[in-house]
Amino acid sequence: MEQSQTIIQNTAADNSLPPVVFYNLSDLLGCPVRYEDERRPFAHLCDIGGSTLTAYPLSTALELTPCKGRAHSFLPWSAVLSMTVAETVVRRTTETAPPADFWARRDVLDDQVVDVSGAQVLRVNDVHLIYSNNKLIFGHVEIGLRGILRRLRFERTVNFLAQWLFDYTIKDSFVTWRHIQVMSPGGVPGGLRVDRLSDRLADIHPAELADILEQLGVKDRQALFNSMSVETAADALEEVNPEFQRTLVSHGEPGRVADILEEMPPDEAADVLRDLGPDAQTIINRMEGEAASEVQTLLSHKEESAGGVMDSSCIEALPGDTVASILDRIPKLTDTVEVYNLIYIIDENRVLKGVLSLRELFRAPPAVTLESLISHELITVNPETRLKDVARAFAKYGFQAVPVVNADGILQGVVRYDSVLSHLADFLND
Amino acid sequence: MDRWKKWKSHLALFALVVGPGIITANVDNDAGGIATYSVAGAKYGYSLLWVLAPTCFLLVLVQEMCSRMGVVTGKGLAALIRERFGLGISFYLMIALFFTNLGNVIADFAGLAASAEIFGLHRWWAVPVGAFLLWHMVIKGSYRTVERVFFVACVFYVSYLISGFMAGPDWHQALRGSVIPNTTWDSDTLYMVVGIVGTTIAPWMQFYQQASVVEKGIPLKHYRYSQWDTVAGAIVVTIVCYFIMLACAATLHSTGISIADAGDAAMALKPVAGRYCAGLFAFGLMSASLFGAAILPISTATSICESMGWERGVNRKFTEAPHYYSLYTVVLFAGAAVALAASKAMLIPIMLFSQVVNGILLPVIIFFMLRITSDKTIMGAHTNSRWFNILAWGGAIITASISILMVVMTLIQ
Repeated sequence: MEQSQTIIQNTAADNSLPPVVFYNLSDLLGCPVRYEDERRPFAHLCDIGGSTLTAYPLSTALELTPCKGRAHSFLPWSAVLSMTVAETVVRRTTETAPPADFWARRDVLDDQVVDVSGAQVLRVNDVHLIYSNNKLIFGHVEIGLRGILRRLRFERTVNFLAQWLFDYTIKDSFVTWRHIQVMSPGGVPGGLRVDRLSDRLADIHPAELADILEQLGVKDRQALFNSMSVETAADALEEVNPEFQRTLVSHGEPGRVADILEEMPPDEAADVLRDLGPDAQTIINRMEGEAASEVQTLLSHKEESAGGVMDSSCIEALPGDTVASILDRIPKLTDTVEVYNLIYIIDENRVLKGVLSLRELFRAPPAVTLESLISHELITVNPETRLKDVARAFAKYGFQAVPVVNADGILQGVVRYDSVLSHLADFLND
Repeated sequence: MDRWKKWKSHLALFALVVGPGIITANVDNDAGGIATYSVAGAKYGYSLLWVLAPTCFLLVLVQEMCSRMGVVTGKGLAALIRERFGLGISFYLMIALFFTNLGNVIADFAGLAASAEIFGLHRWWAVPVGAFLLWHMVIKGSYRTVERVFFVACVFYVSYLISGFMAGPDWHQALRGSVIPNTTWDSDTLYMVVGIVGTTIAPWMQFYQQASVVEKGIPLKHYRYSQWDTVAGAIVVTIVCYFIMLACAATLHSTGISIADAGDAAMALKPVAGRYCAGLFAFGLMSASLFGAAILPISTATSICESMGWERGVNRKFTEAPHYYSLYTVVLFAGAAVALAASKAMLIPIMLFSQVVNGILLPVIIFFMLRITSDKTIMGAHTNSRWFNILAWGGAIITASISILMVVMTLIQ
């Protein structure tokens, strides 16, 4: 037992500082607890509760297993006089223990936590505590092999063998508590504290958030997802695997899910809803009119066709518009359309007449009508055109987007280069 | 019309959810399972057919808990055991699981060797090629492709049904044997019954089914369809067992041929039931062996990584999940190597050891499962109901005592 605690001897110069001792949670648990005026222990340490008010949580309460009887008792940290791996000495108190934000054994040890810096979900093999000035501070979580070996009591043997045979020291691997988000505080899976979470997870890239979501259990996943802002949730949802998209969406409250889907590009939203079965309609009904009808249109086409991935909003102009008037309108439109560098010219029956790029507009004299600028042949696809053929058109002509027209030549929408790419990327592995 | 619409939506949802239960149940009929059923049929004729119905019931009971845990928590069984019961228990459980699964993989490769030789392929050719193909499929293919391959592989079990019919069983006697437990009890018979139950309900199945349910991300409100999946799987597996026993009972029992394993059964069927019947039987054995040898290493690696907190999943690359792929590779190739190198006489003690570990492990796991599924903080509103608990504890005690009995009897013999 003794070797697992390291006492850093303070130098004579800063004699005033109290000694700092490191404990492993696994060494502390089960150790005897006695009153200062008694010699025999009355209980054993069962769990340590912490408060997440600070980046490195302070211990606020102890849970004890009594030597006699079965009812666990709770003590506030203020009752603790000293703590070592051999015994904990406490004074008698009538104070009740404050509620803890998390319990080290129940919620952290052997459980999954999120490492915010590495954006990964880790299983905790041990917890490192710092004991100083009669305060107990949560310092690191241990995630490596060494923690496993220590708890199985193989640490010394395996370490000796590794040293002797391979001249290799098994390293500790820690993550500092500053980067740790406890996922199931209160022992309740999914009982995540949103307020604490927001500042730790706010800066993570959506793709990494998606990675975290995929690694969590269903309740923690849903709790984390629900705690995100609608915008963040939309960004993360786009990056998540289709199977997890389906669970996140079908477990969510339809109104909120509808809000999240509205934030996503319509083709992505349609992909999420496509395999959802009957639930999809409930969610679409809750979506805002325009977004709902766009998604509805996309869903009516096959996924692997141009109609299934197109955006239905793009910059449209009439043949009689002047270059100046359209250049004037573009800045206001860039918020709502995904394709803003191509202008689609349609007549009053919405029949597509031509396409102009921003570059062509900038070069043209401002007073000229758009009609006079249309020169080259129009390349279009049908809603039924297969994505592979759309991709060929992109490869051949080097477009950033291609217009989709129906049999009467009426503009239906545009297919972006990147939405085709993301669909075709799925085939790259095969 | 309205009713048809309702059915259609039920079917659509079922199609989304189906897979884990049926695949798990079918892998259950791997080489070891087929051997047990063949021997039972050959030795006891139609008289042990009745064992299958209660076994099927126990199987549903156990597997239902797994898929429920998977749907409700979104975590694998190994993870739940680690969180609820701690590292120490998990560690030793995983060691036991590793060895019993390795034993199953060895049995599967031995089955592959035996069936390949019936078709005139040399074992030194068939086993390495088979092992490498499986390895490649998982390392290079995506999980979806792998699952599709396995799902299609389930269809090959139809060959047992056909060979069962071709064997020309006495249907009157078969039906009697399936309903009336008219067995003369002695220690040999008991050992056989215990063997049937023991091979049908194996510890890896709980881990595998729960992991697949989690991987599929089945939402709670569609859990009902997951239950159908479990029941369908158990029924399919029971039907297949039934026909294997039937084929062997109709041909081998009446002529008094005694066999020791599934390869023997296929060989012995040839003169009695004809070349095609034997060929179909051997073909079934081959696909079952391949199927088992593919899934068991995956299941082993997933469970251990989940328990120890290592990266896992067939969707990740080798460098992203080194522990996972190392474990997978070791179990697969070690299984193949032992099956190749060991003679039949050497395989018997290995199989016995694996069966003993299996028998000790199963009651422990069922006990943990019952504790977890009764825990409100984990399962919320989806804990076992009182009636379910009575049934489940009853079933668990029966299964546990059967598997302990199997251990004791194995050790005595």
